Amino acid sequence: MTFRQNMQGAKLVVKALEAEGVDTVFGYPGGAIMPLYDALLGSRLRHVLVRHEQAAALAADAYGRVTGRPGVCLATSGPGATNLITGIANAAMDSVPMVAITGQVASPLMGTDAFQEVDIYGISMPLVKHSFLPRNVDDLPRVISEAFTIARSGRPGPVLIDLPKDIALQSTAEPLRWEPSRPDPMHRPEAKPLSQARDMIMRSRRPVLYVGGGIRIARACQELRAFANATGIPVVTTLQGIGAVSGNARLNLGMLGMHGTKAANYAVHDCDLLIAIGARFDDRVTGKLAEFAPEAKVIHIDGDPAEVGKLKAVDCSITGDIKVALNFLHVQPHINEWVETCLQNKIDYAWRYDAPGDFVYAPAFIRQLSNYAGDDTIIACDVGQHQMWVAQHYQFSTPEHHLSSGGLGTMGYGLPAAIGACLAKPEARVICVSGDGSIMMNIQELATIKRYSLPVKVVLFDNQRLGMVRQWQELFFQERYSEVDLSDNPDFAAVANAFGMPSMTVSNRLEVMPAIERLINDDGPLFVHVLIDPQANVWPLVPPGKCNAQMMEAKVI
Amino acid sequence: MKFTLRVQMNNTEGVLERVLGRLRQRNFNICSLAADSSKCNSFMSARITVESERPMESALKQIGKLYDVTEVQLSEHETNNGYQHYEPAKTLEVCVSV
Repeated sequence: MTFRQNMQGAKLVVKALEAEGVDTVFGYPGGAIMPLYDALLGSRLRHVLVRHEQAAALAADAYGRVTGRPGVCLATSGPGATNLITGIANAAMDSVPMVAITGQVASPLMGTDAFQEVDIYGISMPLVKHSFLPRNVDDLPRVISEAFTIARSGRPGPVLIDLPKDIALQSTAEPLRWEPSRPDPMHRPEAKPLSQARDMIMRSRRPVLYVGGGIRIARACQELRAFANATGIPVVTTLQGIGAVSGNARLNLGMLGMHGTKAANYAVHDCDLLIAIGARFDDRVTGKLAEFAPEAKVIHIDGDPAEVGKLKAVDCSITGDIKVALNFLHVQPHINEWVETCLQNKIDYAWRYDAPGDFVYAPAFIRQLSNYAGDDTIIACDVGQHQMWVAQHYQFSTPEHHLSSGGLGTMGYGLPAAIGACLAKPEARVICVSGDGSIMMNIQELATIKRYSLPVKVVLFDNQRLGMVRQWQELFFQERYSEVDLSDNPDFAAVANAFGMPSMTVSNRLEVMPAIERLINDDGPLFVHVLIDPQANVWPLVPPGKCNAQMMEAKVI
Repeated sequence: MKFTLRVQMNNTEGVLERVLGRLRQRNFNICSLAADSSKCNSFMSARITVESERPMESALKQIGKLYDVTEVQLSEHETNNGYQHYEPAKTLEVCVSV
């Protein structure tokens, strides 16, 4: 495409974004990025004004997860830019494609401690996949194109463009030609390790598929399911892998790790072959690493060679295109006895929803919601106990419908993520599941929901505590509770109403089904405030430093 | 263990900072550094000695992932019998950028 002569840098950026197929950008204006905001007027881009830059980055993150295309966020220099940082880190940790554009003070002022100047190029360096600081207006088309190429290629991630104000105001001296981005294709895996993997699978008697977020990134659900069905190997998933196989699939043993199912953790502990696919042996998954899958040989299939052998030695590494690899591995090992053991564990340790007491039981609420909501529902979680209950009890049919801050564990992700998801996939029902700690971290985004009339639903589980921290203080700090009491929370239903959002409060079990019916049937937004037991814990729990087979459970009263 | 990397990179703004930052972030302590840019100023090469308990392969892979790094090689590493030198430098794993 051609950019005409005398086009201003800011206009050129907007045109280049349009050429990249961007339709939505999340942001907040300010001094140094004013040229870009001026150029947005009359463009095809839909700008979503959030109420804090962190929400712009987190909404762009969710947009990227749902669509697979880079989410775009804008902020001004200084505090605007630093406020993006948490969202950029969130995208980096969960390998989400993102392009963040920050305004910067004019080039002659850079390095002089100018008003709202901060070295965001330097600050963001450990977090981004790459970053650009354009010094010439003629570089801008190339920079935008490269930024999108890098964000989308290989293992996706965030890319930052720090745009000095004078460059945004400069005009091109002559017409510029540039091609929009084309992501580099993943290389084909080598033949030798693929053959080795086939042999290892055939020889195994107790294999397990350990599936992570790499399946969502590679959009390889179909290939994974075909591989699992062809081989008959049981599947366990990480938090980011949830939905890669259907929640109710026969061979799905559930999530593994710290709050994983007993069936999943026992399967991994007892397996003789662990096939890791798009997973990175995170500490929340492995527990005590030395005792993770202690008897297993390991095959690691991943798009990123740097993940192979990073934490766990592998016997066979396959890097490159996950889809190609999975399609090559359709063999039929003799594992009937093992599969029966795994499936029996799944029955023996199935979730129970008959919790004693009168409080609303959050896991039961989530399971009921899952039963009634259907496949066209996206759940955007915050971080904490409710996040683990969603992971455990909601049955997802695809990973793009489960938005959860895994690597970074960003409290405050839920509301912005719901906004990003709602704009990325307007036909889906979007429900933010949050806690009374998390929701306050980005509560201002209720204003964004109102501004754009988004039909976002919120389910707020309120235990008047920082529940996960409280649970750890109870279990591992001798019940010495430090700064976890939130009993002076605001009246959340009234807060929602103040932002123009209808609300209801659920305080006993009889009120659960009417609330779920409204969550399913109401067309507009709805805020459901659910009071739960302040003492409720997430079970099972692998204590820190322990092996995954040593799960703590609820005391039976 | 101590080992020395040779890194070739495009001489873009802050590229050396990126390489050094990545090493530090991944627990490779930098012991010595020599770097120079090409006459045309388009490229930069660096010889970096680091110390770490982490495997050498990890440093190579992590540096190899940086977009502006065009080549990273191991040139020597400390063994029980002194230093093992590699001439020409040994490429343990060539990672493709992005």
